[in-house]
Amino acid sequence: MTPVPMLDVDRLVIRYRAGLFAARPKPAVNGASFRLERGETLGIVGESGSGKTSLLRAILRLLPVESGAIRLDGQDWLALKGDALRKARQKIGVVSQNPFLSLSPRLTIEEILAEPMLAAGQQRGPAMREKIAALLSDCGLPADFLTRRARELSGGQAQRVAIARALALEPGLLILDEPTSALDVSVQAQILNLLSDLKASRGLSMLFVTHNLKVVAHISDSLLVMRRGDVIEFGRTEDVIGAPAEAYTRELLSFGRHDAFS
Amino acid sequence: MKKLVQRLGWPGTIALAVVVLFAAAAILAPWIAPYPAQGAGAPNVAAKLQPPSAAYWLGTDHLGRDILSRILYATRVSLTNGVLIVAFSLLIGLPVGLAAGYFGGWIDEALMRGTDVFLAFPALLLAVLMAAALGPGFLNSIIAVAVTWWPWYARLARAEVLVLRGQPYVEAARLAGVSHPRIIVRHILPATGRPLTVQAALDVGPALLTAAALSFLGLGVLPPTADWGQMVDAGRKFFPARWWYSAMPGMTIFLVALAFSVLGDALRDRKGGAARASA
Amino acid sequence: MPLLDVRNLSVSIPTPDGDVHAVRSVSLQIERGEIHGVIGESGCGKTMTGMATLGLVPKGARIAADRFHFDGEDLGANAARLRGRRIGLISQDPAAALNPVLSIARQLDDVIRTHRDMPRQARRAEAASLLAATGLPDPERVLKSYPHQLSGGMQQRVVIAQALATGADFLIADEPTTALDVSVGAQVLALLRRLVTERGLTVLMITHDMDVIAEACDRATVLYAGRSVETGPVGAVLRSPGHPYTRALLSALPDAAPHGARLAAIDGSIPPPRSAITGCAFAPRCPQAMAVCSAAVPPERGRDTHRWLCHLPEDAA
Repeated sequence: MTPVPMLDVDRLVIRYRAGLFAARPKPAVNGASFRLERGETLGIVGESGSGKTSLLRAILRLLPVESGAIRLDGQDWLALKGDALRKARQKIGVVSQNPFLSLSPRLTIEEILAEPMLAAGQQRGPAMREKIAALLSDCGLPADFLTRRARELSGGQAQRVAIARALALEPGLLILDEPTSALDVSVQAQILNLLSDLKASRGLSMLFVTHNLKVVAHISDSLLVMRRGDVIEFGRTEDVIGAPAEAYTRELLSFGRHDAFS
Repeated sequence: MKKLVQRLGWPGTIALAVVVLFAAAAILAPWIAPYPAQGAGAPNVAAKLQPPSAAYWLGTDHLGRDILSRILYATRVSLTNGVLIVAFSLLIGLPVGLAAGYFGGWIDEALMRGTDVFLAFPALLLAVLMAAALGPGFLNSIIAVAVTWWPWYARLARAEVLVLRGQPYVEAARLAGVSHPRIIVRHILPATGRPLTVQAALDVGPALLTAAALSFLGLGVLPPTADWGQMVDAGRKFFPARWWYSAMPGMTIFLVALAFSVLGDALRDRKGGAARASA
Repeated sequence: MPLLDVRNLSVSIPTPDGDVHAVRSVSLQIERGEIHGVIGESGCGKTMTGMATLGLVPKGARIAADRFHFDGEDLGANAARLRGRRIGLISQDPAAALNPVLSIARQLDDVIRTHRDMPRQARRAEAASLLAATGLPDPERVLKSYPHQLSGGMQQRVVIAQALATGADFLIADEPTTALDVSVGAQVLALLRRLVTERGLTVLMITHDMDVIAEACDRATVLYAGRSVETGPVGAVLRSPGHPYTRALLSALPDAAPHGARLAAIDGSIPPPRSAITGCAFAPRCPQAMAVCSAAVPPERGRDTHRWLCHLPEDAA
């Protein structure tokens, strides 16, 4: 029997409400269906206006959904509310684009990492300190970073802290929203390597949203391409890249060094 | 000392010194007033309405009481007035604004429309109405002004909270499963606290003035308790011939209000500077 | 004679905690009609080099160079005069470059009026023709619009039109496509290429994105820690890089590794901008570093127009 997919999205429609007298707007996400298998990485690519951000925010339960279903680890995700939802959020770790915005500027790194644990009801003490120390070292950060604040770190280091925080409650699913778009190429390489190591060591499933097709093509097992609310490609990465169904995808792939390189 | 000047600037440091001086005067009034009994209210009719002199530095009032002593004793009342008005207003306004801004929806609507009702009245008029309804007295005048003051803090708090609620790191906390009370305590309150404290400091002056205005109208503290506003009112009859009676307490009000205002400005600027330095 | 001739440019910004060496030693030559890419990661000094060329460095900054000439004139003294007449700037965020409360027609008109003496009708026609030259399909509608009514790509085209309106023949484009979608950015780059050919412009393209270099540039200079470490024709630099940093940078790109394999990240981090550097700035991170690398400034290697600074002999790739 095949294992339950980590994420199963079925005909999801997201539409933003217009003003009182305006016509019904076109949906931001127009019936998206896809699945993320356990232990795999799904890359979601699209330009601005493609709907990938709306899709992501809906999966994070930050946006209401007009119709469709989302199953997280077999569970009806959209049905959860209130405290049940808050507790179930522990299954998902989230990493955003700009760590300097997503990490509290006032708290120390230790407090930032402890926050999800405390919220989940864990007690302060040596056990928590050990967990935090392990998180730091798993993410390639030195132990003395505990007392520092986010603004003292470089972009790459701050993003590592954000990743560590996302892993604090040992989630099964990691959702990353443009995690390397604000980073230099060399730092991006370090972070992508880190993510790949963490995925292997913790058996994570990952949802990687970006506008950078090259990055996502490298790390994803399957790929979803969105354009103006529609899913125009979905399949294994090598299939989508090797034989793109749409001219748009081909255009996205062709930009850059393919001519200059061998 | 140097660090203080660095952080507040010269105007701010001087203003802080003035405020501290007045606070000290309030506490130490019985010991530093030249004529403590008169300060407390005992008449000295023989020396009535004397201009400023060596014996009476700021002159005497219509009952012969030393105005300097009276002002010093009044400092206790007036300063406490100003501070308590602001404190009470914060106590009501901050939770209201916090709830409205954080939870939004119908809570926001209900609270803000309630706030609007209070804001619809001209502040001083409402204060006068409240004071007239409650009757004169120290606590009553504070309540009367606080009732008109808190909506501004509610608005300010709500605005700050709206901005904070949209911050990515607050959203990140929510996504990590942090509960609302925790988010409010750890993220929202500390960040809202700072601009509100600055505003509060800036407001002590005007609050003081409003309380003085109420006393001036006879709706604040009653004689023989000394109060700056009340003294200005009492001295009106003798103005401008015996100008010192109204002018001295009047200038004191001016000085204290100015000091709080400058201090508030300095606090606000310092906040910006500190934030910039650590960026 | 190169249009832009820079040799050993340095820009230092004094701060209470010591001098910030934003640019330590940058040399590059740009010929007329060339699109020259300056590539590097954050902190390499590429933006400051562009700003120095425009004379827009922070107050108190010290600029020094063995040579810093534009069309034969010394930029140190003349930057302010050349800026806006011969040298134009296209920066990263087109929305920020346009005044949100003025219509496009008004903004373009302001620029045209400053540089040309024409009656109002003629200016309007000129504005429309400039917008058409940047590939906007409906210039009249754009003229009537306000910046927020235009897409990012259209805004950037308007900014380019503004630069053309000044009569500038040298454009500095600082990350012109970073804020735009990939497909829109590709169009903007294609537009710049076309303008270079049609109007004889020269472009200094500042970017952190190798794809931009590959798509749009003829020659490229690689910057690291405020120094230009390699320069040459784009094909040579990208296909057979001479400097270890360039090689490392190219290998760290996601499409340089097979699917799913680890990327070749570069260990360590860039030297702090306030520190003094002896020898080669990249030595602490270079996989092929030798003892001499930290001691002496590396000599120039390479052939013809493809050169780099390295102690390693040329065939050590």
